[in-house]
Amino acid sequence: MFKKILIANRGEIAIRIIRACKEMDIQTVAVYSKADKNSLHVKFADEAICIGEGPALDSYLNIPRIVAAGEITNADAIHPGYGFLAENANFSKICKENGFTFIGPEAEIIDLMGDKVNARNAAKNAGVPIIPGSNTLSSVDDLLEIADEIGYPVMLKAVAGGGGKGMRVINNANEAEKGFNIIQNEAGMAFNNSEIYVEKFVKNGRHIEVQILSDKFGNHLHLGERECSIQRSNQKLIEESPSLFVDDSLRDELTSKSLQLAKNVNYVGAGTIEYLVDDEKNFYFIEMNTRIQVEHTITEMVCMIDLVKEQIRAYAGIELTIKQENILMNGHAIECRINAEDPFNDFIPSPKRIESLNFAGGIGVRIDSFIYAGYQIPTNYDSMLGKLIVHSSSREKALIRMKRALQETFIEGPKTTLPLLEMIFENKDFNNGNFDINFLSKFLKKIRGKNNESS
Amino acid sequence: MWKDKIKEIIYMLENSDINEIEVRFWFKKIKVTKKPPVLNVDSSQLSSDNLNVPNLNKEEPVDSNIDTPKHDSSKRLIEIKSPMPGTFYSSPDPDSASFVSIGDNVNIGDTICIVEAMKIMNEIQAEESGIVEEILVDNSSPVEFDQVLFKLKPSK
Repeated sequence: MFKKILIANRGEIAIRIIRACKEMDIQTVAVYSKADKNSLHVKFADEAICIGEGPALDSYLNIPRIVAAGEITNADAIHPGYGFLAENANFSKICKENGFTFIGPEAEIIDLMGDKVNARNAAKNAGVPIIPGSNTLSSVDDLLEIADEIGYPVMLKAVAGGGGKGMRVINNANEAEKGFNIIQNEAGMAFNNSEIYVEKFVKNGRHIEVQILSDKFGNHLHLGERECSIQRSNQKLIEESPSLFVDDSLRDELTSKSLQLAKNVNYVGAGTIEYLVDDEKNFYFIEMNTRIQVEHTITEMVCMIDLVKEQIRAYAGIELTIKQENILMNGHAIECRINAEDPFNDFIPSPKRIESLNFAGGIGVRIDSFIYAGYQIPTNYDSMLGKLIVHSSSREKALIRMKRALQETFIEGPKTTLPLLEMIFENKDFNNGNFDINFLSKFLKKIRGKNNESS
Repeated sequence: MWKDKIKEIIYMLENSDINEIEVRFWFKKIKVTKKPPVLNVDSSQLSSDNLNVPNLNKEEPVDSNIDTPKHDSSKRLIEIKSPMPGTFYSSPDPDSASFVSIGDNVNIGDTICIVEAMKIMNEIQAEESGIVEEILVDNSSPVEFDQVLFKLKPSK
């Protein structure tokens, strides 16, 4: 087992990893930017190394400085968390070359899954259904031909895309040329790779993903699914596990196909395979995330498995001791993301000082956060302040518990998503499980409409 | 925040009769110990003067003429900070002499040390000229980004 792990991240996920390490008797090294010198991960870790200025390119994205911090502290492994360098193949390679175990996949697997066209082909080879579409497009004519074949509307996507960028819906042939040029430019600028491809646009899909856990001995487990349809511009806001929409036969299909893909690519560690599921319960591969995800917590709650610890063990070369038949999905878990942004003003970030706060408590409530009273939210990073997670024996009880927990939670200083979350948990359709990926944008339009009427 | 806490503890210690304070704060344990004053006086001072007064007696006359301007200029010392985390080396290789020593005159662009990161020796150059007043880091010890390595007295 590792003696000392450097955590190349900040915020709640850095703390999440430090917690796992402490319980495993592994020493921890935090790295931090000057903007983060008062952040909790710096205080919780056994050692902390300042690696640069606030902007992420100078600090959390600066590979040489992070590796140097590992060298001067004699760490033996580096955990990238999520975001920043978590899915950077070059970082995985450099860690290895410099004698550190990267707690994430080998560069080849990150490359394979990071390239959307290659990932589609890998999924196809594993028998995972993919959305009808193309390989890399060479011209507008290419696009027109394929769009005619699969039928409009279609979705143009960047090959190297992710995080909701480099995507555009094309409704008819007239929009093709303009869309092609815009997305090609956007992809070039955002991902330094202007290759694009096209897929059929699935209108009313649900976003459902399967958690995978694999070791270096060819053992692959699934930990059920997560329902992540409550999102806006591909940013998730509420996640739950299991999904009300997934019945036993769909679950069998989703998980067995996911395991086949994990096997095919010799996956190691924690990974997630994302699907779009349509009204008829047809499901299509979207992408595979080769890292621990923000919403891993709800799977932990229903499966009673510490995913971060298992992930660390997997990369330390320890064989999984959990057997698939022993993984039981107990009850229902829901996670809400609390972000420092104004949900009623186009989600403008609100990086203010936390004047005071109270987090919910009581049975079945979990908080993964890093803020404290007096903490100044830096302007350089993600707006997520923390995650409020509840667990109970059924979805109904979990919903009631979340409402109770949201009432107990307040954050004074920045604008947050808390009031929006409270409104969503009062919504009948949401409570009945009657929603798809368009729910949140429709819901926001409705509130805006009401506000305009009353004013 | 953390530094402030230590300052607070030192202040408390200085103004009390106790010699040692140990506190736990944010899961870290810190211990501040007051050294008995006798141990701070070195033997050269012991030989020339009596036990407790020497420091004050010696500095008094110096203070009035030379030390006052010195004190002022010490506030305007140029700090040279590490541009990256890494290992600090004061010389190009273990057998060579240090790039600079206290009292040396340093010009802009002079290499004053090496910070090694990922097996690359990064030569650190002086961005201002001055006389080396203080070297704050021992050879081959780890340094953080922005850690002060040298203090230079500006040359006129």
